Amino acid sequence: MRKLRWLLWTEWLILSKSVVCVIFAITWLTCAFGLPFIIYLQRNDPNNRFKTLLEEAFTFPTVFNTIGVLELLPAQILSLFIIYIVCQDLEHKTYRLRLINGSNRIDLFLSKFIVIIVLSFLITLNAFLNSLIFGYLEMSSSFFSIRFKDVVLFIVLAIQSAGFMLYAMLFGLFFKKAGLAIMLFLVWFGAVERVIAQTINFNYPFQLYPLGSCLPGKAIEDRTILDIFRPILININSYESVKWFSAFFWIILSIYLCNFLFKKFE
Amino acid sequence: MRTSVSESLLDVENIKRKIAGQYVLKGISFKLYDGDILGIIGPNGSGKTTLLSILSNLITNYEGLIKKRNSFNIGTLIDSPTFYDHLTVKENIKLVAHIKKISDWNCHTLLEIVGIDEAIDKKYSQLSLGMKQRLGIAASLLGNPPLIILDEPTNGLDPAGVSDLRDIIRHINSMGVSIIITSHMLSEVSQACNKILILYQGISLFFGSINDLFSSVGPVFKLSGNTSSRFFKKLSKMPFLKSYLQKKDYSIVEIDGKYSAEDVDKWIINNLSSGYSVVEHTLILEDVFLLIIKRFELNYAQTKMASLD
Repeated sequence: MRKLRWLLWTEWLILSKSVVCVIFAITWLTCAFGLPFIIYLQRNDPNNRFKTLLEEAFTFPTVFNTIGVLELLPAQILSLFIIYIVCQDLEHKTYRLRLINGSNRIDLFLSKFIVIIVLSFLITLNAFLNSLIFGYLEMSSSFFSIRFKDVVLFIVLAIQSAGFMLYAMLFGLFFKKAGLAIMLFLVWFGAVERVIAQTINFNYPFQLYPLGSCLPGKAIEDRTILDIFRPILININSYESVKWFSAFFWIILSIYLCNFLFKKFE
Repeated sequence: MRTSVSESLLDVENIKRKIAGQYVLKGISFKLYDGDILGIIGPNGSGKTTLLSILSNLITNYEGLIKKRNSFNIGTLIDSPTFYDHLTVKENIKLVAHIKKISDWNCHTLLEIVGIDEAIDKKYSQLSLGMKQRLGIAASLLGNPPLIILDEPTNGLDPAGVSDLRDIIRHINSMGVSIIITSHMLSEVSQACNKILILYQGISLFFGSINDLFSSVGPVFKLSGNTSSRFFKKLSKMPFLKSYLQKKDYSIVEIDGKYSAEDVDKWIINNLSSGYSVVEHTLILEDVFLLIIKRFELNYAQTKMASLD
């Protein structure tokens, strides 16, 4: 724990003084509140084709689900931030400062991983607070009710956003240059992974899950990924197990690859 | 385990490093004691930075053994200093203290030692190269390590900066800190160091004190006259020749200790045309360094020829 505390302070010292960090934080906070707010404003629009859905979306306890899914998109801004900080260390060789002063490559990986954990916690906390804000604003349903499955949903949100950021970290480690890595991440996230998921002719559900849903773009489209904890909670069947397995497969593979790439940069 | 406890401050045994199937370090060994200043010299690509990177934990994939007394951490300034541009001098020092997990440190004292205490609140990006080097040295001193490594700290510095840095190194050494330093400025090394390690193509050609280094060279003479490449081709056949240096107007010749200037004279009269004068030559570190390298090259060529025969 003492080691983790030192690593956290080190990262805090670097990031808290960075202007880029402040810009990313403001952008994320604006989008994290702005996106649900825009959708919230549209709920009474008679021309909105999702009107029926939106009427219920911001009432307790549905609002936890709505905001939980919506917050995945602004979370991508923090994925870009992770790419930026990883590439900055590699481009300016500042990671060497840690290596020559007694840290090892696992510490290097851990320090970035801690940032990811903290950010995913902030995303989840923000989602929870936003849910309360929009729930209070709506007040059309029973006042503040939360179910166990909504708590699970926030746990899933935290794991999923951490997974996305790990995935972004892979891009940073692989391409090293921040501009290139961010561009390719956006292209992949915006188009390529969907094309792969829809082109390769696997049988359902393999078509969706191992290639698509656990990757950021498809996951946002397909909110059923938020049910990945259901097999633990209700009953295990093969369909749910595939989703559960594929989600953790990508996270563990990302951890392994990040660590491997750090070792390569000696 | 490749790191263990040693009686000497640092005991490096048979360090080898392979890159793409080829050894770039071929069995380097040396011992360092308290208060030593070791100068590592060698041409570009000789393996100096690789060796220092191994000692600094930047490279972990190597063969051999490094024994440290009490498993201390080595303070390091390797290549050019790499700090965070957007942080101030104080914040960068604080960052290194975090990395080293040191809570008890005094930034002002450290910066005073290297003479940049006035720049404590300046951003790293605003510092001159000399100040950056000093900050690197200050950071390497965090935690009071008994040994620091400085990789070409005089690179890019003006003569005044080099002189200041030499004073800083002496001051740090007077505090009981041993130092390993690499530099292409041999005069600096000869002034600052009490031990020398000569690296060439990943091989250790010499390790010992400066006096031992000078006495390791046989009788040396200066040959004045026409020193064309044809001359050197003939000269290399001198049976008691150990090494030579080709200069613009003269050459420096090292011979076997059993022979004298007269023997050189006789051989030249018998084998080369006249017009050469043989005089004693006072060596400087640069001559010794180059003679040792040339000696190695001649021996290597002879061994290769013998193996072909």
